[in-house]
Amino acid sequence: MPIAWQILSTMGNITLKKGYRKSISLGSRLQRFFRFDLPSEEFELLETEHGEPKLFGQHSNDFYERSDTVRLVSAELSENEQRLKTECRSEINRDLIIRKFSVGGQQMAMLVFVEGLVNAQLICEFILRQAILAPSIPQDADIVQYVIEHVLAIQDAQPDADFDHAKQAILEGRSALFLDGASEAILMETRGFPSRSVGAPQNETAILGPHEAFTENIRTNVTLIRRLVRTDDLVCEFRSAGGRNNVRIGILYREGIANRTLVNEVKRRLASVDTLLVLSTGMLEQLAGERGNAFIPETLSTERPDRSAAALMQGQVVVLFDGNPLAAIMPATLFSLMSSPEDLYLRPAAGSVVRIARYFGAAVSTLLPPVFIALALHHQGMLSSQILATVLSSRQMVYLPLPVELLLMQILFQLIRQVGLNVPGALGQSVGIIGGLIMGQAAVAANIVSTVVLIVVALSGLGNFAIPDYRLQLASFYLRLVLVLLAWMGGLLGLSCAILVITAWLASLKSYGVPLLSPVAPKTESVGPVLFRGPLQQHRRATDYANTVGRGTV
Amino acid sequence: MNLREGSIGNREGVCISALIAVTSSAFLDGGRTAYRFGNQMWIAVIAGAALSLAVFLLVVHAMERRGCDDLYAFYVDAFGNVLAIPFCTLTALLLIIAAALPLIRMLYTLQRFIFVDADTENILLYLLFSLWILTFLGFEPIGRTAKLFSMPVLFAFLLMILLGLPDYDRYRLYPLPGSAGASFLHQMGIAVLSFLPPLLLLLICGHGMHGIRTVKKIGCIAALVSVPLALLLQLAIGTAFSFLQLSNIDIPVYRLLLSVRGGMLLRLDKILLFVWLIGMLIAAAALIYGASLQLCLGWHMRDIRPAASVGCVFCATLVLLGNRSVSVLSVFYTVLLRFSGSLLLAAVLLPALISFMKKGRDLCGSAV
Repeated sequence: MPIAWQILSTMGNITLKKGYRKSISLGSRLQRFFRFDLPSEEFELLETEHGEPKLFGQHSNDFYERSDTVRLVSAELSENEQRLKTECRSEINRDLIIRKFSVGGQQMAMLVFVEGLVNAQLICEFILRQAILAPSIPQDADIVQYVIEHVLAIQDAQPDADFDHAKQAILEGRSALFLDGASEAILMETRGFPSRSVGAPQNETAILGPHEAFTENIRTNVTLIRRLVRTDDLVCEFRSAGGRNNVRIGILYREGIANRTLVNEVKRRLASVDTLLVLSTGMLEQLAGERGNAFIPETLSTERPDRSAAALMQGQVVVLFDGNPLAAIMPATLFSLMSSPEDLYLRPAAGSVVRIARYFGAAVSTLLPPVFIALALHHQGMLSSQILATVLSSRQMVYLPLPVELLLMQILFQLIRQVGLNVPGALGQSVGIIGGLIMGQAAVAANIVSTVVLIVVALSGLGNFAIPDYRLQLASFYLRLVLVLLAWMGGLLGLSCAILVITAWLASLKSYGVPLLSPVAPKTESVGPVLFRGPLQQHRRATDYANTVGRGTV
Repeated sequence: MNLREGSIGNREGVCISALIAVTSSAFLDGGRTAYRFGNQMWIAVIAGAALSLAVFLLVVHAMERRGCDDLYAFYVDAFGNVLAIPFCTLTALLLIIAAALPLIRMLYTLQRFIFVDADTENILLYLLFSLWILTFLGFEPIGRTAKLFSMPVLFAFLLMILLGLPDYDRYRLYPLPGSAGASFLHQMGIAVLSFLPPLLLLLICGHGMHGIRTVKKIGCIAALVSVPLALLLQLAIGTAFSFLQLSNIDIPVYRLLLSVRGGMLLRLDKILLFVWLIGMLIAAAALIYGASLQLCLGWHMRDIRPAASVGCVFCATLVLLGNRSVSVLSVFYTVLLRFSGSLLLAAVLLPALISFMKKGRDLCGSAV
């Protein structure tokens, strides 16, 4: 065996990462790289039962398509049982409970539910006990209707002849009661899985506003909104999204106030989401959005019921997602993304000052680093001699070029921020202190970065935190990087052109048919949210950029 | 159809139109020869604007009479389908020239005062890229961007005028043109080239502005806004520098900016110039879009992007040729400046006259 192979074999014992079920060693990789005759050790699924994948890895759509044929509930109890056992893999899924009993001692029945998703007390006391102790069913009675009307003591019980509906209801946490000889199942609302109680908002704190936030339970979230919006025109439409996964979403709007076209467009887009992997409003927004690649969000995400209620009162549409403590408000404008719920709780003057500070912070965050680069590299004449001397003296020993230094620091700032978010609780604050203060101090002392750049990056980072929306904060970061690169290349010329193009691009964006920069460009009669906050009396009118029906009737 | 016209409101329409007129009148001048016989530019602005507005109202009246919603439909109504094509092409060419002429001066200013060591082509690339993106985005975003940047441009404009206050002196406005009639006509032609293209753009994009009645309203408001501003600027230049001084100044507007000296305002000239640049790029993009739309309608093209690309490249080529660094073609700029205004007047007056000669009303169907 040649020496090279011996070395490779030795290296073969070094694994790259721990925790891999089947780790691929560095040596194996190298061996495979040089020896093409060796078989691949990696698991690679090239072919499916539907044949080879299409070009560029596309999958055939028919794999995901549902059958249009309706499967009816069988009148034979055993047949329904067999179907459920087979399709729900009851031999593996031990939490699928199929409980057989007789109603009134004569009518055989089968109650099916998933343990853990249902309220066991509800099932025992109001379904099983009631059914077993019930008197016998009259001969001429419609069995299903009789059981619903005289036996079950449960608030929501509906007959359904569609077997797939019944199966889906079981998987969602409801219970299905199959009766022998009846070709309908009774679907009952028995959901009762554990969920988090209503707590204080984590990210949208307000000193003056209510301290309530949405939970993962969609029912609770609807209730929280209904408590605030007590008008009879508030509608909550429950729909499903996510293809076969059938995730429940709630579409809330004010019938007669919200624009019908907007509501229909929201429904159409949500209905078009056929991807199985939809776990949050963020994913749903991307899948239902018009521009999947744009980094400016199309909806306003909030964890506050009061904010959602305010949007509903203004004629907007709110979408709730089961299992997610965030509501998506649509349409969203750039100014609504820059607003905070507390703006309305303050008096106009104070609210306006807070808003101006926020916009100033956003402007500093986005524009300060590129302007600094443009002035320092291309237009030194615009800086006073004192400032120029300060910049030069602080950078005297720093060997990195100024733009590289600034970009590096920007990325490091993001790194510290992300680490702070991922590390839990108090430890995250420590990471921020270590990363920000100690490392910054050490980097300056080691002449890796200059103090002026550190100040610019810190100011821009501080300004970034003034932006209320997290996704907009990230968008500001991306824009800043682009602007820094263009300021590096073309000074104020590059920066001006970039600002112009970005503004025009923002002006071309729309959120559910509403221009992102409204109510400023295009100008509408809407009272906000813009830079200055007007008196609350003005807010009696609905937002006209949402083109509400019956403006002024809010 | 992918003409990306969209629809804009009154404010956006006024902002686009006024921005084109003000930036053009600020940077479009006859150069050193313009002030040879006296300081008559401020009078020429009034005359040129009045002439442009009169022609605009005449054409609008003719279009209303015939029931045309945009300029292309008006051409078709006046000349028929075949002859409308060369007229559309001519209008488009003149609009691109109107977009290029102020950019030539801006490019010259940028190269001479800010990027002294840079090549013209390098600076032009930034402008071309911005124009290209803006025209691709369409009329609606251009209108909204114009509205957003109209306030900064107005602020820069007023700041420049206000900061120059100590230097103004009324006697510098004299002598009036007097016997130099040809020179005055030349200046008036330049003023027409500043004020007529934005009004023509409104006529071309009539559909995007909800019909000819709205266009008329927007055009009149835009003229009311832009003419006083342009006049104010010319008066400021005229009172800050005598005609003898102006005969030796290449870019009077930038010299006015440079007159701001001392303290924290020392470095304001460059910042204000870049604000002007943004305004000028929006104006040029709007004009190129209008030209592309006219070409698309005339030649029955269904997508504006190829026409917009050609328009941008053509505009950039004109800017490059017109720039004085290309010494062989230094007369190019003067030729364009001298004849474009007259051609533009002819291109809209001729169909108006023909339509007035035709009998019948509301016979024109829009071709879009």
